[in-house]
Amino acid sequence: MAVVLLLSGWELAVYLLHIEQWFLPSPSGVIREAYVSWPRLWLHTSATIEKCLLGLAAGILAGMVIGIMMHWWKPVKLAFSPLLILSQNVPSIVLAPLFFVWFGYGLFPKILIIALVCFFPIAVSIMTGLAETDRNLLNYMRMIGAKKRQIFFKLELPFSLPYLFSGLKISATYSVMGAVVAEWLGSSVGLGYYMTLSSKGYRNDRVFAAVFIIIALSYILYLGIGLLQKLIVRWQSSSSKGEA
Amino acid sequence: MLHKLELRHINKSFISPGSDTFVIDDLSLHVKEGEFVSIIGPSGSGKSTVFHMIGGLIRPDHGNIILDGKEITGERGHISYMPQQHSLLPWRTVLDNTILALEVAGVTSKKQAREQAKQWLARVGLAGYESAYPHVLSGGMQQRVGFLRALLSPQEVMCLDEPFGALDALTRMDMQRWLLGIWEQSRRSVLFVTHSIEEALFLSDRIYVFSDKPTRVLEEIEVSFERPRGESILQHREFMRLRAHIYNLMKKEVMS
Repeated sequence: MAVVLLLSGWELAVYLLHIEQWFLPSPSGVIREAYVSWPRLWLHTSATIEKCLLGLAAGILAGMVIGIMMHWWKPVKLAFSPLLILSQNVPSIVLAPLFFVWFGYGLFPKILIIALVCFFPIAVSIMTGLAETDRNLLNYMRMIGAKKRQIFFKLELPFSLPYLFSGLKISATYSVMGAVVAEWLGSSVGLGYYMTLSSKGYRNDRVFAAVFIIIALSYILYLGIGLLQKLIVRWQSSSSKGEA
Repeated sequence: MLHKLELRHINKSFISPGSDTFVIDDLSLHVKEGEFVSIIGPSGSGKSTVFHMIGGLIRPDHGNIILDGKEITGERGHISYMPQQHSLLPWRTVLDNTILALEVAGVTSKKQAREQAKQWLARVGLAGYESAYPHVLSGGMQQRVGFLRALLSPQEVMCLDEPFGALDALTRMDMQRWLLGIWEQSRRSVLFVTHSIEEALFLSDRIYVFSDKPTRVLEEIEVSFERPRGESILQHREFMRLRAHIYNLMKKEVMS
């Protein structure tokens, strides 16, 4: 509803104030342009989606492995905690050109940038979930003689799933941003590249078309993960329904 | 007769910077084969600590824990356990929760365990709830599942830690009758912790009355009502005498 209001306000403002299309295009102008140049736009969009999903997958994998290892071995946690924070303090805008120097302009450095942005929320959320495992349940498992491995797979891992999904939602939206930034800085295909090109040519209608698609992508990923969560973490969603 | 489970001269202090707490002072107790033994004592009298020692979570400073003549002090996985909080895994169905202890012990296949559990669920009044999640059950039903899980465990001695402590009075009485009915059929060796004098008298063959910290056994009481027991024993003169006796013991302990 708020989105509709915003778009109509924008449309109206552009119309009433006689703003030029190259300066600020109206939403209808953006959609018209997107429709006209769709084949080219889709080419770039699909390239972004590919990077995004690959990078996200790599980030999830890395985040889970790091989070679980840090939970399992205390020394790993102590050694890696500062590095983990450090990895988030260096802006990806700085890292990207370095990666291109080191790894060339192929897919790999771009995936690396996205994964680097995505793994952090995953690692932190799964670590939190594992560490906050219910004390009563943990006590029970120990009392009946469960081994460390059994406690992990039967109790801690399922317990941390809702936490993991919160991290996943953040990572999913980050992944689109990561992909766009990576393309922006060194690519000849993808929405990030398309936006730089259009911006240089004062085609702001195309810039906004790309922005709309980026927003839609982030949102779809976010919704998809929410749906996955509902399917997998059934015990939680139904219990909150019961309380409502 | 050989004791099933025996605690010999247990001592335990918790040492923390600034304050040492002497929790258990030369505590000895035992459970015979097929016997229902209760521990009753004031709150904070270290009853749960005793259980954690039997379960191997805490090591006593002195003394031994012996199961079937073998020393198990500090070892885990020798007892079947039912805690006060139901401690069911929220992502597992009722059926899969009941087989958890069997699964952890790893003695039967999952399929066999499920078959066995299904039959039991029907016997304990939980037919039709096999694939329900724990949060849809009432407190009493959750505890039934918890008890069944302990009952299905391969370990022979069952340690029940105030299993009905969180239930309302009516449900609690209902659960006591229910537990008694099932136990009298299966006759496992049980060590049962409770706050309630009536509950201890109604269920047990023997009762250990614990002191306040540092915990000792104040008195060991034989409860020799015939089995199977019905609610009529609640009106029995001997029942009332024992109840008053334990009450006085505990009152003195709290006052002193």
